[in-house]
Amino acid sequence: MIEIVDVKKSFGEQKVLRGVNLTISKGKTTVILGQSGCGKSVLLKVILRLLPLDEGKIIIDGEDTSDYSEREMMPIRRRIGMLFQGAALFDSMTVWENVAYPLLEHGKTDDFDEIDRRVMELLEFVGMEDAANKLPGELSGGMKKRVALARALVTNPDFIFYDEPTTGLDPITASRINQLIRRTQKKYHTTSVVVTHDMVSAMTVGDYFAFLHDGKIAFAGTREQLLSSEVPQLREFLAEAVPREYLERFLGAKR
Amino acid sequence: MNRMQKFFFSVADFFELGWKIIKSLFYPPYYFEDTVNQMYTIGVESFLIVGMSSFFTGMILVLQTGHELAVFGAKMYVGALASVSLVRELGPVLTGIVVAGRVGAGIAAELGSMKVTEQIDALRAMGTDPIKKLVTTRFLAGLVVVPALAVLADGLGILGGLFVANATFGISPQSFWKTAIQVLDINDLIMGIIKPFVFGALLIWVACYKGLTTEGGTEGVGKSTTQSVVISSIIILIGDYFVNQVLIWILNI
Ligand SMILES: Nc1ncnc2c1ncn2[C@@H]1O[C@H](COP(=O)(O)OP(=O)(O)OP(=O)(O)O)[C@@H](O)[C@H]1O
Ligand SMILES: [Mg+2]
Repeated sequence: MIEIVDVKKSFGEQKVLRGVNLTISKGKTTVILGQSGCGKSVLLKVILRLLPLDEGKIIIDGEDTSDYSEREMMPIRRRIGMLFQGAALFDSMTVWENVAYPLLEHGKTDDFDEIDRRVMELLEFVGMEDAANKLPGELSGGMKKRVALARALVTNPDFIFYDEPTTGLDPITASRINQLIRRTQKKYHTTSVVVTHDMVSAMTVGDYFAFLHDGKIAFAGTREQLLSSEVPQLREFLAEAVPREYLERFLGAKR
Repeated sequence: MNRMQKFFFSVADFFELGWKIIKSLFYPPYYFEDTVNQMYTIGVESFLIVGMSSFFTGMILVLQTGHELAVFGAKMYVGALASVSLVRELGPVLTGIVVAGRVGAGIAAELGSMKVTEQIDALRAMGTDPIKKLVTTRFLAGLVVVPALAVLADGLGILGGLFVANATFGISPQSFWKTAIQVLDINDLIMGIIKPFVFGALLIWVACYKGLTTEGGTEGVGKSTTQSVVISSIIILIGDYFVNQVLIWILNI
């Protein structure tokens, strides 16, 4: 569980997070919605403390990390897999090396065959096994995203943060990725946070939903609560995203 | 924040990075493989250009001083003069500046683009310390390779001088070589090694700092790269003066 209490973050004069309160439930998938530029990626980075926290508390599984140093954050970060919005693959490494990196760096095993098996398993899952020896520079944007996804999942982390996992992907691949997110969460009881604009993806993977607006969480709740929410900005956001009838199909639907 | 404040903040950050590099030497993990790879990269990238520039510098040095010395009938000392100036001064400074332009720029650009494409964040997110993985490895490699390159520069510079001395002034290679070697004492050699060691440390420190603090996309990478070269070249020249002072004081020469 991750408890985010009154978190504030500014860049110079610009206040991006103005007191975010949110609880990320254990073993569930929380989808964070919000307009472009509202601070969703910043929120994920602040939780990982890739960006310093100005004010507030972040409690991860009961451990208050708010004033942890870079070194104290290391073991916590190893428990969290992060899919960056821009993939952030290492240019100098092949696809295989990128995915193997977290395992080689501090995995539990040094056994090359085991690492190779795990890496190839994930690459196959994201449909990138043929590109194992390519460099990131030779891949398309969507392909990079899929490799980055494999890298985020490879260590079976306790938490996974997905920053727009399906943006820029074709519907078939996007659907595969959604299934993968769903399945990972079911199988390993991973606590996941998904940032997305893609309502299909949100509805497929999400257990809980949060809407970030004006630097605060304007809404947090289940899918039923999401669709019946009276928060005007959220209603507008949803209305522009997909037809209402489409969203309502997900109500009460078994996933 | 005004410019002055910004400047002092970045100087503080710069020294903080230096402190982090030093601290990082005392606890694991150590990335030996990366360090060796960096040594190889730094060496391979620069030995040709360092060799070329010092070879021609040696030639020019002899050409310029030869005529002057000949006026005083001291032509045979041209080898001594060339080797002392190369070993004590020109070899280290030339190597420092050439490596700053070649390797320093490369490091600033590489780390800078890693910064703006979030690769540094990705490393941190996976629990890797980017200082250890990217900076300390390059720093250690620089400490080893830059002095080695300076020795190469000294040697090739003297060789260049030797050719010109022979071709232009008719000094035999044997006697040029003899005067060039005889004149060097232990203090010259100490100076010739300490200087590039310090310059190597400075230029890689600057390049890494500029790389890691890059902001503003690809345009920012370009800026960092240029600044890295300009700043480290200036620091090398200023540092040269102070290293000279300190060494003269310590070695009592
Ligand atoms: N490192 C930074 N320095 C300065 N400002 C930043 C930085 N990172 C983000 N910002 C600013 O913070 C705001 C929120 O950015 P963020 O990337 O979190 O948006 P987002 O909600 O993820 O948007 P999108 O959906 O487009 O990805 C933006 O206005 C951005 O300009
Ligand atoms: Mg974002």
